[in-house]
Amino acid sequence: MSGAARCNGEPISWLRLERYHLGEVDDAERERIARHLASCRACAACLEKIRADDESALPAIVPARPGARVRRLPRAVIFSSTIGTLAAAAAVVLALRGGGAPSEAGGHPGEIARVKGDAMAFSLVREDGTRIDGDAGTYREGDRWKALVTCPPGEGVSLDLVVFDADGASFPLEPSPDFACGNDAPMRGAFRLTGHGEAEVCLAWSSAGPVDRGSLAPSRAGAPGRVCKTLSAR
Amino acid sequence: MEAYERHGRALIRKAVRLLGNAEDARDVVQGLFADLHQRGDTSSELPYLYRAVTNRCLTFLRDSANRARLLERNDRSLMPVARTPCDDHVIGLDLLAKLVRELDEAETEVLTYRYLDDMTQDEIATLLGVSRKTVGHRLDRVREAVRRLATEGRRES
Repeated sequence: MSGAARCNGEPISWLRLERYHLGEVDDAERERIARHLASCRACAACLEKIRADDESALPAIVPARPGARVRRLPRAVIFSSTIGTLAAAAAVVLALRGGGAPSEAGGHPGEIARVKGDAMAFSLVREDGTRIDGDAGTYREGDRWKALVTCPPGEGVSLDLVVFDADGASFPLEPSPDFACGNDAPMRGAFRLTGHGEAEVCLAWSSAGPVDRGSLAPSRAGAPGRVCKTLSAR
Repeated sequence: MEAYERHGRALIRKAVRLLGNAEDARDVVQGLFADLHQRGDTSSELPYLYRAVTNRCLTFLRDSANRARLLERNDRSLMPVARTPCDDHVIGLDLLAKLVRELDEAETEVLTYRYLDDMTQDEIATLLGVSRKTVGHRLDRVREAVRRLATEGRRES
């Protein structure tokens, strides 16, 4: 309600209005609501708001895939626990790289960094439902993306997302300090890619507390454990 | 995902009323349907989904980091409209954020249905499967918490 108009009686709840709008009410209820709406500008305005909003596009759902399997690691990228250079106790970065080329960090298409004896997978899903599982993809400026992570349930992991572009590193999502692993488990929030250049989107993981962002930003090139892909602007 | 096609917009509108912004609202609703899909749950009744979204929004609000972020970027001019005053206090995001710390889950749920969704006590009772008397008692505790917060606010200022 815009504040100017006030309901002249007991307001029709939003749920009843929604169901009325959807045709989910019986005849008696429909008549009651219609009678109220005829005499109440406030509630009629709420219904108009619902109708107007229904003209907008519904964001594509990002469904989990019950059948999805965790991809196993090629031996070549299994980390030894003695690799002490992994920042913040083995932060693993999955980054998007272009054209299926090997990443700057030594990753190759399809490679998954090892996590405590198991593996992680990372996909991006655009709002229109387009999904990027592979190492490369394209984006349009302003596209809204969600990140889906597949990792072994029960693992205590902290995740963070970092985007590298011409302006440097940025962290578009809230860190996930205690991520609930599963198949295609969505990271909270979504992000947009802007600009017209190449963008690397990296998923960072740590099994020893929150991912240290400071250690990720400067390590764009040459960090062990990265699997990279690139998103190119369309 | 027929239920999402049919009810997705209504549920996002519901979540926006609680969280005050469309981005988080979409995430909450998408998270719900992703979980339902994963569990093979084909529930499609709007009241059931309405409750599920309400509880997910309240869980989101109970997280102190989320609460702080929402409050920081909350613009009162973008606040969802409300038709019902709560003891002369319209429930905005700032008051709601304080109340989720004062009230238990059942009381907070009733609060949102009454003061953000404009449901009658009978409607709430039907939705929750409890008596109207129970709803009334929970609302009494909500009003008590609002009065307490208002008194504390006056003392501080």
